[in-house]
Amino acid sequence: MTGILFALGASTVWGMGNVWIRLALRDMRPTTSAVFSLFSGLLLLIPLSFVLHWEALTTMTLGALVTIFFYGMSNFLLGRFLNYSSISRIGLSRSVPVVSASPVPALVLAILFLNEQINVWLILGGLTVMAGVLLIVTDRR
Amino acid sequence: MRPPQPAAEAPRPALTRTQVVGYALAGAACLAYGASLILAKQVVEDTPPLLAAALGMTFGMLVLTVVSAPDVRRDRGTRRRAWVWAALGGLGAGGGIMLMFLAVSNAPVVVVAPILAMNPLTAILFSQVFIRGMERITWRVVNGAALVVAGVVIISLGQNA
Repeated sequence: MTGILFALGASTVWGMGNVWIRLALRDMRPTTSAVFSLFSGLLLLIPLSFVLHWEALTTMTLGALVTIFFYGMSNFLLGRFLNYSSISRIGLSRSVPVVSASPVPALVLAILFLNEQINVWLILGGLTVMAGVLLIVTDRR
Repeated sequence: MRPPQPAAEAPRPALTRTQVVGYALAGAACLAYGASLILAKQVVEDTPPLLAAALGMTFGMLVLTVVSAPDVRRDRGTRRRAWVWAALGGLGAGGGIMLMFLAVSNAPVVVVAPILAMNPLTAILFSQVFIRGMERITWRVVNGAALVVAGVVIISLGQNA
């Protein structure tokens, strides 16, 4: 039950976070919003992660740090900036569902580069996501 | 006398340039997040996920600050309210990451993943409750978001099958 409550909490704060960003984007550029939101998010994450994982931090290899760097570029630089730029143009309700389709490209990349096995559920899920995105993108109102 | 003709259907308006660019940016964000999911799989093999997220966010913020310094300087005079919204948005995103890790460590992924995948519907719901005047929602968008959620849930369960 605790895990479910945490998951519901995560979904709620992500939803509200998007609403607040939509409000910020009325007066602010997506780049500035992304930088400032990353800064405030770090105020929350850095102390907690350093306290909980100080040993892992001090024994981290250079290779791991390089992978984390590329993870950060992909997720927090490109992902967030492009996401906010999209929200500022088409709004929250159209942008968030399209961005949330990310498990589909992840699946394709995993099959191509990590030799992940594909099964009927993954194909069905991917097609359902694409149908949803298509429905949103073809909405002309 | 000729029978009355049915009214001709109004042509559907084409997407505006802003909408096309907006959707293209959303698609690019989707690709970037997709790639980051693959990188995250590699990262968490030898680094605790919360620490990896914090460090990745630090790298992202540092590089983005350098790249977008001129924009940030131009936005210095922006209303204080906008800075507060952006800060709250960041706290929401950071808090969500923290809660997600707590959820995964307290319940099986098959239970947690479908709840986390609800994000698009939560965003639409909150946009209707709090910023109704700024967002135009149609049933087509709601149904599309529901399909995206359903598809992501199926993929999550399929990966654990």
